[in-house]
Amino acid sequence: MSDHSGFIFAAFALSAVIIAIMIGAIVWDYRNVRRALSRFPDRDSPTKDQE
Amino acid sequence: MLKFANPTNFLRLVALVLPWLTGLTLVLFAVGLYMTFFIAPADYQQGESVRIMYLHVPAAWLSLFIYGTMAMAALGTLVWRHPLADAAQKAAAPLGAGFTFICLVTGSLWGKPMWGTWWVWDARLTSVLILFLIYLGLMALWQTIEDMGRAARAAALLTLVGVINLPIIKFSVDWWNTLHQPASVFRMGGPTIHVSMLVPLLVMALAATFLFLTLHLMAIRNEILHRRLRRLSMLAAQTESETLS
Repeated sequence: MSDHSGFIFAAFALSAVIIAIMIGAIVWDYRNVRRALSRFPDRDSPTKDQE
Repeated sequence: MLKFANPTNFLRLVALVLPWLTGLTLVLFAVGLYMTFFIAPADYQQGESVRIMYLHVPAAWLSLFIYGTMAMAALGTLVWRHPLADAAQKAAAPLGAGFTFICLVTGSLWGKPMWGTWWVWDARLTSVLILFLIYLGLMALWQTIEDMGRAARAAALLTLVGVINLPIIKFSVDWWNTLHQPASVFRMGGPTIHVSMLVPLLVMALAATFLFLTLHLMAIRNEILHRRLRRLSMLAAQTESETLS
């Protein structure tokens, strides 16, 4: 590509890693909170959200 | 629109639109990356390094856009005290920090071959670094104040104070003599870059914006569920203590 291809590759690779970390953190958090909520039987009641 | 300000309705909306948003984001990124590497030409001065701009500019745009979103949510928290506004603000901060970090890293990786240095303390770079630190400060603030209402109000105030940094970032290249190039896309008189580079840049910016919208909706959903869990846990503990006494 060019003698700067290392910089280009690093920029795209690091951005991909940071975006993957953000996605992973959100998905992991969602699974954890759903698991914790499953201990409560009435978790899907709409009235529970009126805070 | 107002009916979606209710957390339960909002969760239903998220479940409905999330698959579409995810699909649209993936398609936009596929098209944007294809255009970046196979259609957009190399720059006559920067050579192939200009391809870093197709990441750097969308990340820079998002770093400002996310903060603007948070500022509007902060108004919703302070003026209407709406819990969804606080959840939206809190959920956006880590994403803002992430995209600002991408902006700083890709800028640095472009700066080394083009400017001959990883970093200079000029007005644009320093003001974006301050924006990154504000994002981190806001995240820390939510973690340190236990009372959710107080944390929301404090974070909303800090967010609104930090808004002053947005015009400084935007106009820093006009107000001061900086190494950073002046605006070439969002400027009075229209973009100055050639259409063969502008179109891929806009597609990548749109893809990044849809990525943020998707992740933001997912993060707000998490925040709503965390609050529900907290309330249910407190109710369960209260019931248990009443049973024991």
